[in-house]
Amino acid sequence: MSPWPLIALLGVGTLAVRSVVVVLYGERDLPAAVERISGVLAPAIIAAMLAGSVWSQLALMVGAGGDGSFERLVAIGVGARVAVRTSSVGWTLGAGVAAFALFSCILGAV
Amino acid sequence: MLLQRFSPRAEASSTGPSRSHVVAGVRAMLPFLAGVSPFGVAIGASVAASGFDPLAGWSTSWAIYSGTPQMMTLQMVDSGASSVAIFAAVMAVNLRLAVYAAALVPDWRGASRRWQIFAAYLITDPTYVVARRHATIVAEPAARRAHYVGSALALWCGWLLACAGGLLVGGRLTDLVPPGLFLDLVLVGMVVPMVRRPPVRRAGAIAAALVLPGLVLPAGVGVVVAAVCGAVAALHRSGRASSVGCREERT
Repeated sequence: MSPWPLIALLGVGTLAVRSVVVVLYGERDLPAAVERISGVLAPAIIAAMLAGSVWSQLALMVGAGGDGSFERLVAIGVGARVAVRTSSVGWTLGAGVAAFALFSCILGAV
Repeated sequence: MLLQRFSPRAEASSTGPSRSHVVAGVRAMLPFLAGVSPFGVAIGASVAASGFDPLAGWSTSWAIYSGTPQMMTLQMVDSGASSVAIFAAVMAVNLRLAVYAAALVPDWRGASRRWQIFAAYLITDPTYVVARRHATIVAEPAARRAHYVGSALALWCGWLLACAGGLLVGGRLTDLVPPGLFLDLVLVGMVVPMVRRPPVRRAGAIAAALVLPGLVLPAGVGVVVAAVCGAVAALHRSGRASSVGCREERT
Protein backbone atom coordinates (compact mmCIF):
# COMPACT_ATOMS: atom_id res chain seq x y z
CA MET A 1 0.00 0.00 0.00
CA SER A 2 1.25 3.50 -0.85
CA PRO A 3 2.40 5.49 2.23
CA TRP A 4 1.47 8.84 0.66
CA PRO A 5 -2.20 9.04 1.78
CA LEU A 6 -1.10 8.39 5.38
CA ILE A 7 1.64 11.03 5.19
CA ALA A 8 -0.83 13.54 3.70
CA LEU A 9 -3.34 12.78 6.46
CA LEU A 10 -0.68 13.18 9.17
CA GLY A 11 0.52 16.43 7.61
CA VAL A 12 -2.97 17.93 7.47
CA GLY A 13 -3.80 16.71 11.00
CA THR A 14 -0.57 18.13 12.43
CA LEU A 15 -1.13 21.49 10.74
CA ALA A 16 -4.68 21.52 12.13
CA VAL A 17 -3.42 20.89 15.68
CA ARG A 18 -0.76 23.59 15.31
CA SER A 19 -3.08 26.21 13.86
CA VAL A 20 -6.37 25.63 15.70
CA VAL A 21 -5.55 28.26 18.32
CA VAL A 22 -4.42 30.72 15.65
CA VAL A 23 -7.63 30.26 13.66
CA LEU A 24 -9.83 30.66 16.74
CA TYR A 25 -7.90 33.38 18.57
CA GLY A 26 -5.60 34.96 15.96
CA GLU A 27 -7.28 38.36 16.24
CA ARG A 28 -8.92 38.34 19.66
CA ASP A 29 -7.80 37.78 23.21
CA LEU A 30 -7.47 34.28 24.59
CA PRO A 31 -9.72 33.49 27.56
CA ALA A 32 -7.94 34.78 30.68
CA ALA A 33 -7.60 31.31 32.18
CA VAL A 34 -6.00 29.93 28.99
CA GLU A 35 -3.63 32.88 28.76
CA ARG A 36 -2.64 32.45 32.41
CA ILE A 37 -2.03 28.73 32.15
CA SER A 38 -0.30 28.65 28.75
CA GLY A 39 2.72 30.59 30.07
CA VAL A 40 3.29 27.92 32.73
CA LEU A 41 2.04 24.90 30.81
CA ALA A 42 4.51 25.05 27.94
CA PRO A 43 7.64 24.91 30.18
CA ALA A 44 5.93 22.19 32.23
CA ILE A 45 5.53 20.12 29.05
CA ILE A 46 9.23 20.46 28.27
CA ALA A 47 10.11 19.53 31.87
CA ALA A 48 7.81 16.49 31.64
CA MET A 49 9.39 15.38 28.35
CA LEU A 50 12.86 15.59 29.89
CA ALA A 51 11.72 13.80 33.05
CA GLY A 52 10.14 11.03 30.96
CA SER A 53 13.48 10.46 29.25
CA VAL A 54 15.38 10.49 32.58
CA TRP A 55 12.91 8.03 34.15
CA SER A 56 13.33 5.72 31.13
CA GLN A 57 17.14 5.84 31.44
CA LEU A 58 16.90 5.13 35.17
CA ALA A 59 14.58 2.19 34.52
CA LEU A 60 16.98 0.85 31.89
CA MET A 61 19.95 1.23 34.21
CA VAL A 62 18.28 -0.42 37.21
CA GLY A 63 16.29 -3.06 35.33
CA ALA A 64 18.39 -4.23 32.44
CA GLY A 65 21.78 -2.67 33.26
CA GLY A 66 21.20 -0.62 30.10
CA ASP A 67 24.27 0.05 28.00
CA GLY A 68 25.22 3.71 28.19
CA SER A 69 22.37 4.70 30.53
CA PHE A 70 24.68 5.67 33.39
CA GLU A 71 26.91 7.76 31.14
CA ARG A 72 23.83 9.38 29.66
CA LEU A 73 22.44 10.29 33.08
CA VAL A 74 25.81 11.72 34.13
CA ALA A 75 25.87 13.77 30.91
CA ILE A 76 22.38 15.12 31.63
CA GLY A 77 23.46 16.02 35.19
CA VAL A 78 26.57 17.83 33.96
CA GLY A 79 24.50 19.55 31.26
CA ALA A 80 21.97 20.72 33.86
CA ARG A 81 24.73 22.15 36.05
CA VAL A 82 26.19 24.05 33.08
CA ALA A 83 22.71 25.23 32.01
CA VAL A 84 22.12 26.68 35.49
CA ARG A 85 25.38 28.62 35.30
CA THR A 86 25.28 29.74 31.65
CA SER A 87 21.64 29.49 30.41
CA SER A 88 23.21 28.52 27.08
CA VAL A 89 22.09 25.55 25.00
CA GLY A 90 25.45 25.50 23.22
CA TRP A 91 27.50 25.17 26.42
CA THR A 92 24.99 22.66 27.81
CA LEU A 93 25.39 20.50 24.73
CA GLY A 94 29.17 20.77 24.70
CA ALA A 95 29.57 19.95 28.38
CA GLY A 96 27.06 17.09 28.26
CA VAL A 97 28.61 15.42 25.23
CA ALA A 98 32.11 15.85 26.69
CA ALA A 99 30.97 14.26 29.97
CA PHE A 100 29.37 11.39 28.05
CA ALA A 101 32.55 10.79 26.04
CA LEU A 102 34.74 11.00 29.14
CA PHE A 103 32.63 8.58 31.20
CA SER A 104 32.30 6.19 28.24
CA CYS A 105 36.10 6.08 27.98
CA ILE A 106 36.57 5.59 31.73
CA LEU A 107 33.94 2.86 32.02
CA GLY A 108 35.19 1.24 28.80
CA ALA A 109 38.72 1.10 30.23
CA VAL A 110 37.43 -0.42 33.49
CA MET B 1 13.53 48.86 28.26
CA LEU B 2 17.17 49.49 29.11
CA LEU B 3 18.13 46.20 27.55
CA GLN B 4 16.17 47.16 24.48
CA ARG B 5 17.97 50.47 24.24
CA PHE B 6 21.48 49.09 24.56
CA SER B 7 21.43 45.66 22.97
CA PRO B 8 22.46 45.33 19.31
CA ARG B 9 19.02 43.91 18.61
CA ALA B 10 17.40 47.03 19.99
CA GLU B 11 19.52 49.18 17.70
CA ALA B 12 17.94 47.39 14.77
CA SER B 13 14.47 47.58 16.28
CA SER B 14 14.52 51.36 16.07
CA THR B 15 14.58 51.03 12.29
CA GLY B 16 11.64 48.63 12.36
CA PRO B 17 11.56 44.91 11.74
CA SER B 18 14.27 44.19 9.23
CA ARG B 19 16.74 41.69 7.98
CA SER B 20 18.81 42.08 11.13
CA HIS B 21 15.99 40.61 13.23
CA VAL B 22 15.69 37.67 10.88
CA VAL B 23 19.47 37.14 11.02
CA ALA B 24 19.39 37.40 14.83
CA GLY B 25 16.69 34.73 14.82
CA VAL B 26 18.84 32.44 12.67
CA ARG B 27 21.78 32.97 15.04
CA ALA B 28 19.67 32.28 18.11
CA MET B 29 18.53 28.98 16.63
CA LEU B 30 22.00 27.62 15.76
CA PRO B 31 22.79 25.98 19.16
CA PHE B 32 19.36 24.32 19.16
CA LEU B 33 19.92 23.16 15.60
CA ALA B 34 23.22 21.59 16.61
CA GLY B 35 21.36 19.69 19.30
CA VAL B 36 18.40 18.41 17.30
CA SER B 37 20.24 17.65 14.04
CA PRO B 38 21.61 14.29 15.25
CA PHE B 39 18.04 13.25 15.95
CA GLY B 40 17.11 14.22 12.38
CA VAL B 41 20.08 12.20 11.12
CA ALA B 42 18.86 9.25 13.20
CA ILE B 43 15.38 9.52 11.67
CA GLY B 44 16.87 9.58 8.18
CA ALA B 45 19.00 6.56 9.07
CA SER B 46 15.89 4.74 10.37
CA VAL B 47 14.11 5.41 7.07
CA ALA B 48 17.12 4.02 5.19
CA ALA B 49 17.21 0.92 7.40
CA SER B 50 13.45 0.25 7.19
CA GLY B 51 11.54 -0.87 4.16
CA PHE B 52 9.87 2.56 3.92
CA ASP B 53 9.95 4.36 0.55
CA PRO B 54 12.91 6.79 1.09
CA LEU B 55 11.17 9.81 -0.44
CA ALA B 56 7.98 9.15 1.53
CA GLY B 57 9.99 8.65 4.75
CA TRP B 58 11.91 11.89 4.22
CA SER B 59 8.65 13.71 3.42
CA THR B 60 7.50 13.16 6.99
CA SER B 61 10.19 15.71 7.94
CA TRP B 62 8.23 18.55 6.30
CA ALA B 63 4.72 17.06 6.48
CA ILE B 64 4.77 16.24 10.21
CA TYR B 65 7.86 18.34 11.07
CA SER B 66 8.37 17.06 14.59
CA GLY B 67 10.95 14.44 15.53
CA THR B 68 9.14 12.17 17.95
CA PRO B 69 5.95 11.78 15.86
CA GLN B 70 8.10 11.14 12.78
CA MET B 71 10.00 8.37 14.54
CA MET B 72 6.75 7.04 15.93
CA THR B 73 5.17 6.94 12.47
CA LEU B 74 8.09 4.98 11.04
CA GLN B 75 8.06 2.48 13.91
CA MET B 76 4.28 2.01 13.82
CA VAL B 77 4.21 1.57 10.02
CA ASP B 78 7.05 -0.94 10.39
CA SER B 79 5.13 -2.90 13.03
CA GLY B 80 1.97 -2.96 10.87
CA ALA B 81 -0.19 -0.60 12.99
CA SER B 82 -3.40 0.71 11.43
CA SER B 83 -3.58 4.21 9.94
CA VAL B 84 -6.15 5.21 12.59
CA ALA B 85 -3.81 4.17 15.43
CA ILE B 86 -0.87 6.02 13.85
CA PHE B 87 -2.97 9.15 13.32
CA ALA B 88 -4.27 9.11 16.91
CA ALA B 89 -0.78 8.60 18.38
CA VAL B 90 0.77 11.39 16.29
CA MET B 91 -2.01 13.84 17.15
CA ALA B 92 -1.67 13.01 20.87
CA VAL B 93 2.07 13.75 20.79
CA ASN B 94 1.45 16.96 18.86
CA LEU B 95 -1.09 18.31 21.36
CA ARG B 96 1.67 20.27 23.07
CA LEU B 97 2.18 22.29 19.88
CA ALA B 98 -1.30 23.80 20.34
CA VAL B 99 -0.21 24.92 23.82
CA TYR B 100 2.90 26.59 22.37
CA ALA B 101 0.70 28.29 19.77
CA ALA B 102 -1.56 29.62 22.53
CA ALA B 103 1.48 31.15 24.25
CA LEU B 104 2.82 32.73 21.04
CA VAL B 105 -0.38 33.91 19.37
CA PRO B 106 -0.48 37.32 21.16
CA ASP B 107 2.80 38.20 19.40
CA TRP B 108 1.32 37.35 16.03
CA ARG B 109 -1.70 39.64 16.16
CA GLY B 110 -1.66 42.21 13.41
CA ALA B 111 -0.09 39.81 10.92
CA SER B 112 -2.20 38.32 8.12
CA ARG B 113 -4.08 35.09 8.76
CA ARG B 114 -1.92 33.36 6.14
CA TRP B 115 1.23 34.46 7.99
CA GLN B 116 -0.19 33.25 11.29
CA ILE B 117 -0.94 29.78 9.88
CA PHE B 118 2.52 29.64 8.31
CA ALA B 119 4.03 30.58 11.69
CA ALA B 120 1.91 27.94 13.41
CA TYR B 121 3.15 25.29 10.96
CA LEU B 122 6.73 26.11 12.04
CA ILE B 123 6.07 25.71 15.79
CA THR B 124 8.27 23.16 17.54
CA ASP B 125 9.85 23.01 21.00
CA PRO B 126 12.99 25.02 20.06
CA THR B 127 11.08 27.69 18.08
CA TYR B 128 8.77 28.22 21.05
CA VAL B 129 11.72 28.58 23.45
CA VAL B 130 13.69 30.95 21.19
CA ALA B 131 10.56 33.11 20.69
CA ARG B 132 9.87 33.34 24.43
CA ARG B 133 13.48 34.24 25.21
CA HIS B 134 13.47 36.93 22.54
CA ALA B 135 10.16 38.26 23.87
CA THR B 136 11.85 39.05 27.19
CA ILE B 137 14.23 41.55 25.52
CA VAL B 138 12.27 42.97 22.58
CA ALA B 139 8.75 44.37 22.95
CA GLU B 140 7.93 45.35 19.37
CA PRO B 141 5.57 42.72 17.86
CA ALA B 142 6.84 43.19 14.28
CA ALA B 143 10.43 42.65 15.44
CA ARG B 144 9.38 39.56 17.35
CA ARG B 145 7.70 38.18 14.25
CA ALA B 146 10.77 38.83 12.08
CA HIS B 147 12.95 37.11 14.68
CA TYR B 148 10.53 34.18 14.79
CA VAL B 149 10.62 33.77 11.01
CA GLY B 150 14.43 33.72 11.04
CA SER B 151 14.74 31.19 13.85
CA ALA B 152 11.90 28.96 12.65
CA LEU B 153 13.06 28.83 9.02
CA ALA B 154 16.63 28.09 10.12
CA LEU B 155 15.39 25.13 12.12
CA TRP B 156 13.09 23.96 9.32
CA CYS B 157 15.87 24.02 6.70
CA GLY B 158 18.37 22.40 9.07
CA TRP B 159 15.89 19.69 10.05
CA LEU B 160 15.11 18.76 6.44
CA LEU B 161 18.82 18.66 5.62
CA ALA B 162 19.59 16.54 8.71
CA CYS B 163 16.90 13.99 7.78
CA ALA B 164 18.20 13.90 4.19
CA GLY B 165 21.77 13.50 5.48
CA GLY B 166 20.72 10.57 7.66
CA LEU B 167 19.04 8.96 4.68
CA LEU B 168 22.28 9.23 2.69
CA VAL B 169 24.91 8.24 5.26
CA GLY B 170 22.87 5.82 7.37
CA GLY B 171 23.66 5.32 11.02
CA ARG B 172 27.41 5.98 10.81
CA LEU B 173 27.20 9.48 12.31
CA THR B 174 25.02 8.46 15.25
CA ASP B 175 27.12 5.44 16.25
CA LEU B 176 29.44 7.51 18.45
CA VAL B 177 26.89 9.32 20.63
CA PRO B 178 23.23 8.27 21.00
CA PRO B 179 21.01 10.87 19.27
CA GLY B 180 18.61 10.75 22.22
CA LEU B 181 21.34 12.28 24.39
CA PHE B 182 21.54 15.37 22.17
CA LEU B 183 17.78 15.76 22.48
CA ASP B 184 17.90 15.41 26.28
CA LEU B 185 20.64 18.02 26.49
CA VAL B 186 18.66 20.41 24.29
CA LEU B 187 15.67 19.91 26.60
CA VAL B 188 17.89 20.63 29.62
CA GLY B 189 19.21 23.78 27.95
CA MET B 190 15.65 24.86 27.14
CA VAL B 191 14.00 24.17 30.47
CA VAL B 192 16.60 25.34 33.00
CA PRO B 193 16.43 29.07 32.17
CA MET B 194 12.62 28.86 32.14
CA VAL B 195 12.22 27.41 35.62
CA ARG B 196 13.80 30.40 37.35
CA ARG B 197 10.31 31.87 37.99
CA PRO B 198 8.76 30.14 41.04
CA PRO B 199 5.36 29.20 39.49
CA VAL B 200 7.09 27.71 36.44
CA ARG B 201 9.56 25.87 38.68
CA ARG B 202 6.70 24.39 40.71
CA ALA B 203 4.78 23.42 37.57
CA GLY B 204 7.88 21.79 36.08
CA ALA B 205 8.68 19.88 39.26
CA ILE B 206 5.13 18.56 39.66
CA ALA B 207 4.92 17.63 35.97
CA ALA B 208 8.29 15.86 36.15
CA ALA B 209 7.09 13.80 39.13
CA LEU B 210 3.71 13.00 37.58
CA VAL B 211 5.09 11.92 34.24
CA LEU B 212 6.23 8.61 35.77
CA PRO B 213 2.69 7.29 36.43
CA GLY B 214 1.69 9.07 33.19
CA LEU B 215 3.99 6.76 31.23
CA VAL B 216 1.24 4.10 31.31
CA LEU B 217 -0.95 6.37 29.16
CA PRO B 218 -0.65 6.31 25.35
CA ALA B 219 2.48 7.97 23.96
CA GLY B 220 2.50 11.73 24.43
CA VAL B 221 -0.75 11.89 26.38
CA GLY B 222 1.00 11.20 29.69
CA VAL B 223 3.34 14.15 29.17
CA VAL B 224 0.46 16.53 28.43
CA VAL B 225 -1.66 15.25 31.36
CA ALA B 226 1.29 15.54 33.77
CA ALA B 227 2.06 19.05 32.53
CA VAL B 228 -1.57 20.20 32.84
CA CYS B 229 -1.74 18.84 36.41
CA GLY B 230 1.57 20.55 37.24
CA ALA B 231 0.50 23.89 35.75
CA VAL B 232 -2.91 23.89 37.46
CA ALA B 233 -1.42 22.91 40.83
CA ALA B 234 1.34 25.54 40.56
CA LEU B 235 -1.06 28.33 39.58
CA HIS B 236 -3.51 27.31 42.31
CA ARG B 237 -0.71 27.44 44.87
CA SER B 238 0.67 30.78 43.68
CA GLY B 239 -2.87 32.20 43.65
CA ARG B 240 -3.38 31.02 47.23
CA ALA B 241 0.02 32.38 48.30
CA SER B 242 -0.74 35.81 46.81
CA SER B 243 -4.18 35.93 48.44
CA VAL B 244 -2.59 35.00 51.81
CA GLY B 245 -0.01 37.75 51.19
CA CYS B 246 -2.81 40.27 50.53
CA ARG B 247 -4.61 39.23 53.73
CA GLU B 248 -1.40 39.58 55.75
CA GLU B 249 -0.77 43.02 54.26
CA ARG B 250 -4.29 44.10 55.19
CA THR B 251 -3.86 42.93 58.81
